[in-house]
Amino acid sequence: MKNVKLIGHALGLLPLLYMLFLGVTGLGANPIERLTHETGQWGLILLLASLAITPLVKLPTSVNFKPIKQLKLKKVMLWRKYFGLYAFCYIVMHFLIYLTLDLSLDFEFLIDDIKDRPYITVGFLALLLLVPLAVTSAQTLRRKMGRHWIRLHKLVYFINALALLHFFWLIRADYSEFWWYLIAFSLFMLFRFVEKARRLVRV
Amino acid sequence: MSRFCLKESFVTSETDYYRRRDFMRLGAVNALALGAASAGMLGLSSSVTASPASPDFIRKAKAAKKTIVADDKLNDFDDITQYNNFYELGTSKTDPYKNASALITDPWSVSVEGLCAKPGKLTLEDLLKPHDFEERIYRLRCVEAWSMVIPWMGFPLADLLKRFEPSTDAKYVAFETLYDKGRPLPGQRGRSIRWPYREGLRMDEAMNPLTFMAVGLYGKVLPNQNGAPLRLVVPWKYGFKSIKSIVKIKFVSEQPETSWNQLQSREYGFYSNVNPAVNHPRWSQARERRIGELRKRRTLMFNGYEKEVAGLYKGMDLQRYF
Ligand code: HEM
Repeated sequence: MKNVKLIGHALGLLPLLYMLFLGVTGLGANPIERLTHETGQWGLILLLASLAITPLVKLPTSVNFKPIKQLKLKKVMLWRKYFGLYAFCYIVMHFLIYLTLDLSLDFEFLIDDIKDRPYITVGFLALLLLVPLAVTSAQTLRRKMGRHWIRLHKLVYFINALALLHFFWLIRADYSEFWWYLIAFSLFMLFRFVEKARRLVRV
Repeated sequence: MSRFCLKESFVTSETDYYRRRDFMRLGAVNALALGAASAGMLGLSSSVTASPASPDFIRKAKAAKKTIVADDKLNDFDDITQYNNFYELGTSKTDPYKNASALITDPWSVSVEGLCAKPGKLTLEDLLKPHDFEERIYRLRCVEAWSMVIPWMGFPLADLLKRFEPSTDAKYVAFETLYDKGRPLPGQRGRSIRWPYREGLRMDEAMNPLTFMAVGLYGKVLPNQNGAPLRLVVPWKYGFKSIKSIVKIKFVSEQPETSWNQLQSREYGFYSNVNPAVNHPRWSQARERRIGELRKRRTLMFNGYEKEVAGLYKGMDLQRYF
């Protein structure tokens, strides 16, 4: 159990280490753009990774094969929360870099951008929606809120979709990276639809 | 002050530079390239990929006069050569630097076509022969809202175009970048853009004294990643109008197709003049980040060249013809 937790935190902190490494070795000619991109990218990757956990745990355990059963993969489910929270941290950094260094803390610019730039509109909405999820991530709250918690946290699917849209709308010509993210998201969602359909059929 | 000191350092770094090129010709290419690549990854190196300078080039470079200066502080050589948009060499800003050696600039020829009295195919040598070089410090404003200040070396485009005696029907000039289907450059395998890259100017824009054909940078041969061996510099327009590594110049009567306009006509107009009042549909053009500065600064109309070029667009609705 302890190891699973440790590895989860280590994975979530890896992007931060990477960015610190970049900070020391050089962020290139436009460090602010680079940091905006790194934080945004790792935020998105961790959001997607959080969606990947359920299929990655459930698919192998549904196979009736003893060594896999013994792995106790269920504990890895904890990583959903870790990845979600680390993603939130990186996205907050992403937003703060933009707010301080792009907009010089000018909130009028912020309102204008949210109104006029579709990619900012959806990015901002995604950030806002992440706040209640982060706030209610504690285990005790989860127990207290019960079914409401589950319903609230279904928002991650929508948030992921918004994040992808945000990325899609800011690309100028090269969509090659984007397609990989979209395929990953589609696969993770497909798994959930199939599960749901199977459950419905069984009932 | 620093600007005046720079001139001195040009000379020394220039000779260093030529020496290094000679060394490479002595057959140490691989060892050096490997060393440069690994040093480059550590961010230690300022080595560049460029063709060796011909004696003619060295002579003209030494004689080059500073004809246009700017009050802005120059960006340093590393920033100018390691942060580029040159999709032929890859879509990320650092790709052109990393892939620069894939661009072969020797031999090079430029095909001159269309409505002119003297069309033909010129070798680079013949093309450059009649032109003395001058140095001009221009601001470069990218459509992505960043900017640099760059000391180009070259000659006015008008001087080149006049040699071909364009006819009165020639209302536009179209340019094309190198594209060899059989041997595409690393970025030309992807289809982010329909290759070859195309750009164009209205004839009066092309003939404007500010419009420049650059063959050098910081007194040296233009590095590959900056569009060697010759590229356009149109300082009052967004950077993508300043087409790199030109192989074709064509005089035409109709407004030519241009690459970014073909890709997204709603976002990139044919004119693409720097204009803080006309936003890109997806981001603001009111401000820009000067590379090397932390905060954004305000973008100037026509990138600060309003006095020189506003007349070209008198009576035109710049919101419509963006
Ligand atoms: C769930 C929330 C968000 C995610 C996952 C996210 C993700 C991303 C990604 C992946 C990129 C592109 C990085 C690249 O090109 O490599 C990006 C760029 C960017 N994002 Fe976000 N973002 C989010 C929210 C926001 C918010 C709230 C803002 C500001 C209000 C914002 C502003 C920007 C800006 C300014 C860029 C750079 C655009 C450019 O370079 O043209 N993002 N983001």
